[in-house]
Amino acid sequence: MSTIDRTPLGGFEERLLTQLKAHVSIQPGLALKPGMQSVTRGRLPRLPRASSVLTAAAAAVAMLVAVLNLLPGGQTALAQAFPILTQRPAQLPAALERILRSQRLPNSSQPSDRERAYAFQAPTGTGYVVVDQQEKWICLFVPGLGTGSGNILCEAAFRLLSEKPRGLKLSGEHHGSEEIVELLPKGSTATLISTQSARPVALHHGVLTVVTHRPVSITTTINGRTTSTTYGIAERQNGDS
Amino acid sequence: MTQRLDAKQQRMAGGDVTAAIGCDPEAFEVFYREHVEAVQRFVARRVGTPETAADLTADVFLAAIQAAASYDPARGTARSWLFGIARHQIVDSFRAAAKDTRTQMALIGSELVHSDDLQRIHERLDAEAASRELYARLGSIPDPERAVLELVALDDLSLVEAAAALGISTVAARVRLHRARRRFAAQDAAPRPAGALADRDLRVTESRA
Repeated sequence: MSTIDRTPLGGFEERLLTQLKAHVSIQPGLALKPGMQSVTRGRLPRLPRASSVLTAAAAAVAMLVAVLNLLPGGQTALAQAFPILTQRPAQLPAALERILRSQRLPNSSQPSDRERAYAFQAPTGTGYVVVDQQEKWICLFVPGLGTGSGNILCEAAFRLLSEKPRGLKLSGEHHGSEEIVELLPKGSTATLISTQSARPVALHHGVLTVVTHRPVSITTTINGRTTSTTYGIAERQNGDS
Repeated sequence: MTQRLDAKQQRMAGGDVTAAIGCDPEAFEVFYREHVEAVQRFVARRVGTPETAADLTADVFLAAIQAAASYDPARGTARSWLFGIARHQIVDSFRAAAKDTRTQMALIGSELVHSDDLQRIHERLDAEAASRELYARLGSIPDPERAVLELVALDDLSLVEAAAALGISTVAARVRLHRARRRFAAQDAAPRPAGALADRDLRVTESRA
């Protein structure tokens, strides 16, 4: 059998490969183009030869449900994890839509695949949590953060819903203060710790917002896992008291 | 160290693996290993800082994963398709910088650069310094025309490949290339600083098309 050589990659290239592979979502059976089937055929689950049409239909429905990520109660897994997604969607601002388009974020190639935006009040204006229709991506947008018109962070939904759920966090300087905005999964708690005190921070539909002038630490607990981050300047309060 | 790929990987390497990179990690790895150096050199011909180059390299492959379903081998090679994506990503990043909008991607390439990578990345960037100078000089040519000239003269694509990368017909690409060369020649007739690139640096071998 002939073989081909695989040239070793550099450290950066190897790390990048590992990260990128995490973004490849395995979707067996999903509308594969003819050319793709030869590559992925080995992965597809094979039904028993004697399986009936009903079995195949049930499998198809199960797969469709899995694809749509629907859970009992009509909420998607993402909405169950992030309470803000159970709120009424807002109009996606044109400026934000332009940013998403210009950065090819997220998958918006299909006209029917429109994003849904959920507004929240950030200290610098109205922020948005944006998800695509298929809920493959979730983005956090905060206006006026850092330089320019704002800052946006997007993540593949399956990564936020993994065994170790986590949130999306943006922070940056705004008029000499530091602003921290974090979208946290349901059931999370946050504590603001400064030199003088430690107090819980209220979350508004799972969104934490803090503006600080002095050094503080913010400790978040997500599904029993505690993370503490120290910010250089600190404090003024938060999203939802 | 040389590693060997199994039969499936060989089949993928020899065949059309590109359409599967969005849904098959193994296919993606084969694709990535085949193209990562070309993408890095493509980026290095346009940007001169290691961090930006790393960010853009990550962005290009991430965009390729997201766009994999749209790949059509009948319209061109995987390399030309990828270069089309790469060019789009770079232009987008320049526009975003001009608008002062910052987009924080889920994957930030520069965060994966360690100190022991820097020398290698700098060497690659240094090797492409002349190309970056040429790239900068193409800046005054209107984008549709410049795009063809860029891919042909700078990235060594054939006219057919450049057309595929840009999603235009070969005839349209040939017309744009002709116009771009004419504009470049006119621009180049103006006095240039010492050490600037000469006309021969912009050789375009249309015969490859």
